[in-house]
Amino acid sequence: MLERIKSILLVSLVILSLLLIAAINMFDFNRSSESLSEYYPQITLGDNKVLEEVVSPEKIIVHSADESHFLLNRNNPFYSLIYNEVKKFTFFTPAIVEEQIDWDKLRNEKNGLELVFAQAHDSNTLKAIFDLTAGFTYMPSIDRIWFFTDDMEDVGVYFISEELDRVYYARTINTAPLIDKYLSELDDEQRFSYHLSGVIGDAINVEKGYYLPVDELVADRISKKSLNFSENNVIQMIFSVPSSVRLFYSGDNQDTVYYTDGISSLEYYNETNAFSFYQPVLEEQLRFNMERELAATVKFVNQHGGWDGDYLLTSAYNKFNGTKVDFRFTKYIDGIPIYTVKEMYGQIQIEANNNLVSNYKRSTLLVEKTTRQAQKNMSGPELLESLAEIAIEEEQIRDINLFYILRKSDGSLELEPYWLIEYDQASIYMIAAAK
Amino acid sequence: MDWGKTKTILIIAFLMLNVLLGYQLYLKYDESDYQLWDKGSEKEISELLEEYGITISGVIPSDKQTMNFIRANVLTFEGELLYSSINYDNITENNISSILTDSVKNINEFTYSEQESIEGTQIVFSQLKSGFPLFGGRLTVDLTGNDLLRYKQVYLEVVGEGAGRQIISATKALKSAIDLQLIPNNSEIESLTLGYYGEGVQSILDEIPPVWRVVYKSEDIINVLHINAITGENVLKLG
Repeated sequence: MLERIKSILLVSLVILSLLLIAAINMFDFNRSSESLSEYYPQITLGDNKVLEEVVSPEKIIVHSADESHFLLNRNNPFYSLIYNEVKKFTFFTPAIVEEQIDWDKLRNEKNGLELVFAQAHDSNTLKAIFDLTAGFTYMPSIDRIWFFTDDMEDVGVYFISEELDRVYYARTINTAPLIDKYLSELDDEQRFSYHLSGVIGDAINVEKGYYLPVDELVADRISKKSLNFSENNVIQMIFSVPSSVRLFYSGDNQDTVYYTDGISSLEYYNETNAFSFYQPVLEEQLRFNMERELAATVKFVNQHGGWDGDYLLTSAYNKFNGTKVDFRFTKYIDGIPIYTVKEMYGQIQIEANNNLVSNYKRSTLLVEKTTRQAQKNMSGPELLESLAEIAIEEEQIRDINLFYILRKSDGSLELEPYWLIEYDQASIYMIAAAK
Repeated sequence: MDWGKTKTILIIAFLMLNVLLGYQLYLKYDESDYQLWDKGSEKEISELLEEYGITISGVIPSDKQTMNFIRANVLTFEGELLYSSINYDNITENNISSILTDSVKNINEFTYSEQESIEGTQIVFSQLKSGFPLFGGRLTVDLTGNDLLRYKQVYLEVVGEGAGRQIISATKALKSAIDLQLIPNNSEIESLTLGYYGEGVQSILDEIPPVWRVVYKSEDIINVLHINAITGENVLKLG
């Protein structure tokens, strides 16, 4: 009995000595040696988003049988009203439309709703918004979805792919009075006229065009007072252990400063108020799935700064022989996208593969206060007249879109509405929307 | 081999080893900054206060808790308000809250500050965060007469909190202030209050630390200083 107690005691003492050795080595009571930055609250540029929000339509065009068209931007209350209703729709049995569609009749003689996306999505991505029934045919590259009342007074739907020059027809369970209900409420909204694209190209099935305001365009000049995130703010936002990050390289003029934690790296651009974060990922792309990559990307942004406003996916393409996907998200103000050339404000660029983000680039500017100034803008006919004066005729124009052009001045961002005109084969012209 | 004897020897040896290791662990803890920070500070502070002729009118708080850095948006509101003197013939800190309830946002997060108020002309409320004053968040009400109130509110909307960390004791904060020569000789310490320092905060980029607010009287002038309750450093107004 005594021997048994001795054995148990000995084993216990051995275990205790091991625990004490581990405690001496592992616990650091010198808490002041820890970096204070570990205790700073997480800093963010904005809120979290779900996948659906960044792939939702850029605008909704409501077509009336009396040849009126209402273009509803994302800030328009009717946009939310219609979108929230439409996304409950369930679609059935899509099939490619073989016969020629009479677009003019559809646009001007039938009530309809047209959802226009900033970037073409395949049907897998569209499942983030709509209830596409199981076994729904895979549809690549959908730019627009057009709801209309068919001859049986049911609602039919065209899924339109401009890139593939293809149209799919599907049925929904919703009925015609729904579209009529929206139309009856839009009387006070700004009306737009349709203009057929002057350069049609090879398109046979899909008609391309653009919409211009019948009367003066409603768009304000906007000024935003901004703050700039410092290198430390960005480090705190991006790295999981900020205290392990060290300055790696800083050039003479300090335009770009490089940091690393030994695995990932950060480039901080002082001149352009932006940063670029790199982390190593497996180069080889395993089973590629755009929707999964996009979901991982949205989650990454949520966890690394968030979304400082209304962003939409405006570009997604494969690069480096398909090993990476490049996603670009554009910020919308009052439903109008920001057009950036040099500045990063208004853009989030991400490279991803295998559901991991390898490069994350965005602006370090955070808007604190917005002031707006109403201005008199040109109407559609006035715009076309101005273009004709510089020898850009309507038949040369491929597309016209409205953007906010960004100019940075001391401590603030100035945003001015501009029309971007694409004409001839690949020419671009920009003109201020103001009169 | 006598296994019984061997076991006894091993038990004694491990017992001695564990005592040694336990002592080693105790030394490590005892010599840590964390422990040194407060150790013997009460005795030390008494000697220091005596040396510099500094007196304390109240009791040194014994709070030793975990607090955190916070971030906040700075929101400013101001306005005027007419009230009926039939209902409120005498404006006090008690009934002013009910007058302002509908006009001032988050008034329940503010508490009357007798120290900062001026009797009959101005009533000041300080913002609270988790029961501690959030210095910088303030509601000032000017009593202009003619049944009119003029108010200005600086509200620090907390948008983020860091991980909790043990703060230094009030004694240590006081010692730090004396060591840094922030309190002149022959001063009288009136109060030591724990709170958050948000004075001069401009945006969410500024970290708001927990602080010990030291109010002292020197040559009949009341002065205030703030000691970072985590680092023991003097906190200067931002902006």
